[in-house]
Amino acid sequence: MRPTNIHTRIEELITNYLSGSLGTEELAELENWLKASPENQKYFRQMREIWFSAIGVGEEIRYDKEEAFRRFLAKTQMASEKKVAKRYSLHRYMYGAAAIALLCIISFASYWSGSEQIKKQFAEMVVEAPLGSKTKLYLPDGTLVWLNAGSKISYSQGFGVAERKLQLTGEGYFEVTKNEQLPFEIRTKELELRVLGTKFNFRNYPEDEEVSVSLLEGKVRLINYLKNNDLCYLEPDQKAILNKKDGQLKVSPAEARYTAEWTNGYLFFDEELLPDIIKELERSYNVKIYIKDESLKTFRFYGNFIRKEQTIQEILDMLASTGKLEYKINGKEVQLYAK
Amino acid sequence: MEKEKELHLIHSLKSGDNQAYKYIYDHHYVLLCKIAYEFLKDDFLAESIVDDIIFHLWEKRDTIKITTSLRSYLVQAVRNRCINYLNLEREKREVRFSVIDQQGEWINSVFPSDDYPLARLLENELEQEIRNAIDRLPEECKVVFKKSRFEEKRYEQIAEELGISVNTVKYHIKNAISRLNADLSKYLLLLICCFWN
Repeated sequence: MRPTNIHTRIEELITNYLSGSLGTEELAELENWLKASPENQKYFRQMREIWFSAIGVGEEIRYDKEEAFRRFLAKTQMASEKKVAKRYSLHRYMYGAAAIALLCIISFASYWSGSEQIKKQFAEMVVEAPLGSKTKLYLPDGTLVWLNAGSKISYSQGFGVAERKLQLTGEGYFEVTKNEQLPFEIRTKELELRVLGTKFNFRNYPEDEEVSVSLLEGKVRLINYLKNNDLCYLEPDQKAILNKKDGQLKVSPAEARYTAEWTNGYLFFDEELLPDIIKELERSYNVKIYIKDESLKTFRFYGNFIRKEQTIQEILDMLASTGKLEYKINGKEVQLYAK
Repeated sequence: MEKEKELHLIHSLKSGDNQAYKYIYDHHYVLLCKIAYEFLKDDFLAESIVDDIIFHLWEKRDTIKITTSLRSYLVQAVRNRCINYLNLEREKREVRFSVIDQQGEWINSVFPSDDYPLARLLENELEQEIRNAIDRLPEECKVVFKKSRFEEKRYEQIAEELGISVNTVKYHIKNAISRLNADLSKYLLLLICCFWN
């Protein structure tokens, strides 16, 4: 094949496209040319493939394969140890079976139910924040955690030595200490998160309809357990919402610092569904709230409140001021009606 | 001979031999990262995705079936992961878009991803042919092409660095693409034939 005539307009457009210099008007022109025929599209694709394929030839050193291989070894070693540990404890239980059948059944059951737990030789640490209050703590690696009311984290005593994994129920705000050797991982039933070092808020109460992660700094990776273990990456000031019913994960811009406002005693609702807001109010004020009209369940509200300074009644007044609902308080119980 | 070596390598990968994985890192890792970068334009993401793919191969080594060459397998895996990722990104962009985003958006919508996938030349170990074709470019043309392609420099920047006009820069890049196309299109045609058979 002979070199094509490179002085045509279309060669100019394709070259500009490939080298990242295509203007908006030129884009429209290229678009029209492409739409004109399948041959044009084929030609364009071929040019794109040629341009793409040259990458192997670039000599610049951007990726460290030795370092990457070390990462691989560390990761596979950890994964193998976990497997060996599991097998070992299984044998022990089998022994137990010969001695006392009943004990075996109990421990076997607990073994399986805890199969996701980290190594057996380490005790499991559990930290809980009771209803109506929140807890601040530092993990062994220096990571700061705020646990919101009614939330719980658990991790192995070996946390920070061979791995940094923890399980979360409820809501936590994390400022993760940077450690490129040991990624920091949080698992919940529906969504897993991995980072090297960053600040983010992770919320997944069992009774919530959505899981939500907001990123303040750095970069995080999410794995959607509900849908083919799809990967998703978040940038600062983005929020990921996972719908627990259909497994759809959506990312949208967000003022991430507001989502961690609860650590300062604020209650912040960013267009949240009324049922989720109610759960938050129940946990924060230790009350029971009932929605009496189904139609209220799809309402979303936006607002920022100070828990210490505002009573539950004041917050309910604000919600009522939208004109969409009314409430009745009876001791520690609240009823909401559509208006 | 090559085929035998390849089968042996795949066998070693399946038995979890670390040396076989070292081979992947030594021979394919950098290229895989570069491919991922082409799609994602982010080094951190590119490396994360390639790490995940190799780890996944290790984790599923007992059950995984590799019917193509190892290189094809890895290149395809990278491409699929990246396209998957970009599809998720697309949902994000419905809320946050700019002209640049729309440009990539639109071009991708014209070409369904699996219909005519990129990186087929790379899948087929034609790297040496591509290298030779680039080496055959006239000297100044080669320098300009490399600055545009690998250093991602803009026309104006290249012109300034080399003390030539923007039009000359454009001319060299057009010329480079056209020559590479002339040299490499026969392999592309060949690949399409293989693909359909």
